[in-house]
Amino acid sequence: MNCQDIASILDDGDLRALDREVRQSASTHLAQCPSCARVWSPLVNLAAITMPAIPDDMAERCASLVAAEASSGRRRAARIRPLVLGAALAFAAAAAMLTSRLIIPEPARQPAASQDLPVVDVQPAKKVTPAASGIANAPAEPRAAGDDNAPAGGSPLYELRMLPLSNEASDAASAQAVEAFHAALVEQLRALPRINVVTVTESPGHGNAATGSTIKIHGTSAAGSGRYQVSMTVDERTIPSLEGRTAARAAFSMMGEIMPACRIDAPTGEPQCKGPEALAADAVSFLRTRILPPDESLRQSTIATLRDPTLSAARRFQALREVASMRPAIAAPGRAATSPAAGLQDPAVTAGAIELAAATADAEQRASIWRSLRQVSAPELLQPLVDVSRLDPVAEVRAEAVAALASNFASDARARAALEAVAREDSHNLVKALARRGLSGDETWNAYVVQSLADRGRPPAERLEPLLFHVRQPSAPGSYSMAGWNVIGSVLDDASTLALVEVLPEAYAQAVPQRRSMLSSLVSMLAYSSPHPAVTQMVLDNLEGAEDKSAWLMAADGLMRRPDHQDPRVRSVLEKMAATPSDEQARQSAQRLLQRVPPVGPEQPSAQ
Amino acid sequence: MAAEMRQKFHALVTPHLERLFRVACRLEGNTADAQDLVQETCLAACERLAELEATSYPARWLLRVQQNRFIDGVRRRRRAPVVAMDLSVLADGVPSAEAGPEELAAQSQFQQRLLDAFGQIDKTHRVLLSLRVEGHGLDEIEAITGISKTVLRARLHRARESLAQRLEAQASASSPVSRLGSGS
Repeated sequence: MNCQDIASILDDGDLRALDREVRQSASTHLAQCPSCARVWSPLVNLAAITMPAIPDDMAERCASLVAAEASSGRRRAARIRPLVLGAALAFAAAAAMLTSRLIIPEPARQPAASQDLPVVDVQPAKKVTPAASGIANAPAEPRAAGDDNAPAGGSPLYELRMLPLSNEASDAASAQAVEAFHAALVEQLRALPRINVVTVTESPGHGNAATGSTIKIHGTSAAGSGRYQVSMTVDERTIPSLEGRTAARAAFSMMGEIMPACRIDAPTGEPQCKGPEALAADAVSFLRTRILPPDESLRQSTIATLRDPTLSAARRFQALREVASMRPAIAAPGRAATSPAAGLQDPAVTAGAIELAAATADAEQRASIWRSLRQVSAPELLQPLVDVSRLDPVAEVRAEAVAALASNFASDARARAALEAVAREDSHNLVKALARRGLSGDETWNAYVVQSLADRGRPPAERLEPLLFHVRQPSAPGSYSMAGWNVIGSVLDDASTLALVEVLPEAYAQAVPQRRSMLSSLVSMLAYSSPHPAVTQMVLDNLEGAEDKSAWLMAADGLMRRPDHQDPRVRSVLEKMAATPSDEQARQSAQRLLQRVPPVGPEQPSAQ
Repeated sequence: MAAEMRQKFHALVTPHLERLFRVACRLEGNTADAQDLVQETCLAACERLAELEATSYPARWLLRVQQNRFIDGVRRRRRAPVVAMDLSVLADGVPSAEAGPEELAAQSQFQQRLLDAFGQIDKTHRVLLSLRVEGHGLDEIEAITGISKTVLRARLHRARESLAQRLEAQASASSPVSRLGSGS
């Protein structure tokens, strides 16, 4: 096969139905021809992405629309915009993660003050009546005794309609866990004030729903994996504060584990093998903070919890996390939060965060608070940051305070004095280097990162420490966010990449679980983005030699998905792993990877 | 009249809705706008019902209408502000239970990059590549777009190059793995 053949396939072949022979021939050519590989890979991968199914009611909705047009004689009846404005494509999914995407429309009659937000020509939900549209009315909502927890004598503020559980877990243990999750979720939702939880048998037709949201829970499992997954899709309907308009759709997906082997969450070290009740609590938290209408009383009570010195630090930290991501009160209809950490900007929340940082004995919490406050430049932060940067006994906490000080107050005389003192006197090199960065800029800092990587006299973890600090971005409390490749790649020249490759495997093997997860992300990023051949070699070596292969399997995934070139050696090592029965987990992972990332095209094309 | 229109719609358009929707999803990058685009296409189709009834290839005809709607931007959609509540990948369906969380994350990161890159290329390129990845060959694309095959080949080549360039630019500017918080 030559370049012309490749172009011919890309022009006219069925990219989702390439037979094995064609793929093999193409693969051979692509391995030697980067210019073909760079255009082949994106297109065949794009073809392999399955589009979501057409909504069940789409045909009927369109039919209603054209019928309404015909009967009205108008050129353009308003579109029956589905109530969901922000539904994202089902292109991808993340397990063990909260996922959401909210889109909040600006009401059409929005005053000019909100020009910064685009206006959506949202149609009122009652645009097409059930009778006119042929859309079936929502079924009567059977209410179990006690369903309605609205205040006596008043209508409930918000209605949550629970669709029947869709439980496709393939083994009994997972199925039970999914059911337990569903039951716990309903129970916990019913405990919420001013929320009316009802069960419905099907989703109300568009435009027919009362104020509230419809929730669907879907459970799945991988047989024998010991894991189950619950995903929650929320169709948010009309919200009074949005003038009766539809607002959003959100999805929430989490992985629960049945087996004792727990994954450890990166930033907090919390095991992720939560029970169904804990998972349900997460789902409720998600709903309360991001789906249910902005509730100032809830926000205030959460702030009160945050600032209550009689409560445990863990409880207060949880409150901080909630309020940081809480959907803010909507000052003007349609106004949406602009940042996941928008809640931190409230002076009361900032004050509460400062109080908690002073009170908690948990250094990771303190560090997390100061890291998140790097996103806030309130004057009241200056003195606490100065104090912490000098006095906190834990270097990691001082480092975060110094970074926040340098980031937000670099031109302030008091801050500079503090940074000078830290740069001179701190006992920890990283903290000193961060202070110097605040005083004289990134150049000295970048040199420090590179120098640390190359210093063979230091233990692996210490060599990597500055780079890991460098890649960690400010984020909401308790969360972890990694910088992009441009940030990392900018400090890595050839020599420092080699040093990094040298130190990473050992550092990974020695790391505590929390740090291991961060290193694993770093390895993946390198595999996907770094053009250095030593990175590929590192992954190959560790796929074969490392005891814990999980990070290296992730890296292999990155290597195989590189847009420029897929190194055939990676596939070859994976094939070997997939045929080796000694490590069952690695064998299965390798098999999955091989299936999911075919050499040059999808293995199982779907029919047109 | 409305009943008749409904009947004709179901006879002439409904069989092709799924294909229209799939291509619309590719073009728009989200289901809400895809649904809008399909609805607009349906409205436009019903305004020219006689033409649709006369054609031997209603799917091609509808795809052409849809393509024109997409390129012309007749719909005057104004985007809603997007509030990304987490460093999330998109999840509107149920993820496969086959892959582990990290694998899913890596997989979705890649797909997201690809889709982001695709969303950034020229609209006409997006139309051509959307049709290609949905399984349409040169003959069909020629019929749908009215562009001769010779020109089509050149344009497809440029479209692929454009996508590859966007993807490479993204690869050098962003992270392949962004971690979420521990969940709330």
